[in-house]
Amino acid sequence: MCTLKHHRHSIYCILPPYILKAIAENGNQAQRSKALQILSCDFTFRSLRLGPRLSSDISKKRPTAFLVAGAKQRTINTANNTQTLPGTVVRAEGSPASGDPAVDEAYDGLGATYDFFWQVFNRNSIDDEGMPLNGTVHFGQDYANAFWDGQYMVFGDGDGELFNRFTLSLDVIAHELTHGVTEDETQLLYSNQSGALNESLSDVFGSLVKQYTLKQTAAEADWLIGAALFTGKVQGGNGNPAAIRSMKEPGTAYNDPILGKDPQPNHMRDFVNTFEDNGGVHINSGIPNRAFYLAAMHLGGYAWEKAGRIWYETLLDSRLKPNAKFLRFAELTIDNAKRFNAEAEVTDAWAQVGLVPLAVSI
Amino acid sequence: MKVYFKPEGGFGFFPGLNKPLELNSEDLPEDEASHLKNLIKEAQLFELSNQPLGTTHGADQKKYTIRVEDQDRQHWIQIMDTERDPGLQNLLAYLSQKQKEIRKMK
Ligand SMILES: [Zn+2]
Ligand SMILES: [Zn+2]
Ligand SMILES: [Zn+2]
Repeated sequence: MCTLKHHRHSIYCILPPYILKAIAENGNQAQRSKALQILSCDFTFRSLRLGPRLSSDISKKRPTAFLVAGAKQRTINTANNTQTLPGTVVRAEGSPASGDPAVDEAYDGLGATYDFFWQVFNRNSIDDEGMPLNGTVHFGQDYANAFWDGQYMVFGDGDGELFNRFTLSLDVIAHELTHGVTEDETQLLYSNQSGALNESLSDVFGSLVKQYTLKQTAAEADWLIGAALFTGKVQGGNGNPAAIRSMKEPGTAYNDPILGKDPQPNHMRDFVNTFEDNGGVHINSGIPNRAFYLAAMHLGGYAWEKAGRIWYETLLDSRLKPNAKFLRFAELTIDNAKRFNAEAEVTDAWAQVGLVPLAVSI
Repeated sequence: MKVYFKPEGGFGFFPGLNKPLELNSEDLPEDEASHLKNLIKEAQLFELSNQPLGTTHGADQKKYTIRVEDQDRQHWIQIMDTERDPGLQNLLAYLSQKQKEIRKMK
């Protein structure tokens, strides 16, 4: 497990190992110990993999000297329907629309997400130090997925049968970028409850980016994740159009003969114990998702102003550990809510999904 | 030869899409059976190490477990979509396509 706190040291997070080795050998005392820490954590990871790290690690290196706070630096690549990352550059920062919808949606979506974090939380990109945003579209053939690989935000075209292209929903693009933010801030372990919290944070900020862009209040928002991703062939739940997840009513996003029924619980009593999906990270995230929705509704107005701020402060809270469980996360949001006079609303939101911190022992 | 294939992970968990696929070469048409055997051979599957993939960095990535039983030996591996080896890519493409076909037949 990587216990190193990456934040504010992210230049080290993104340096390729051979440069870290050089620092470990030639740097000053502080640089050397930091480089050694990172090398040991990253080698643990690397040794677990079958093959070499995929993309050329050198591209992680960023031109720190030219970065201006609030100025985003996007690069969109195409994998040309192969599975090679990053692919070839098709649109760089400031260049005009390409006419390829996937490319332009990724460019605009990463831009909207950057703007949200900058304007609402004064956060400068994934690492709060202006890290360039690298997206790859047209990944794989008929590839029905989007992911964050620790470096790139990657989007498939969908299979055209059940799934459309994954850049169609802004919240999905923002979800992937938020995985980078979470990895930078807390490294919430991607399995079981900590993994479901990691997933929930990506849905929370993914949905907030959409709401912020549409200027919707909590009451006006649909609280759906990936509402544009399914083709018309997929059946929704409760007579609604299908989406990947519903933060408002987890478990009702789809109910389809091929896909099955949305497996998300909306209360701790229905928590799913499973080995699948890294211990149900995309399943049990329904519980904290609904808690956030309820907190936002209790507080009213724009969800990013209070509820979003409280969740963001909790993500940055050094008391949030990589192996945190739902109850600990709930405690910390309740504690952070005090500064916003929102303790009662947040406490009640968690209580409604079955999470009641006994005495808030912080 | 028996091949077991299990996709996992991705942006969402869809119960209907994560069902394991089991193929027995004896149940396949002759030329498809030899195609499958060739894919396994070219992927050098039995020579690969089989530690589970780590999950320290990244999110929403798909992961595939492939297990092969052949006469007296059996072996399993896990790979991801970003797998670069062409042999493994071809094997993964075949198994994914096969799973889709079987799903459609039901
Ligand atoms: Zn960092
Ligand atoms: Zn690390
Ligand atoms: Zn995710």
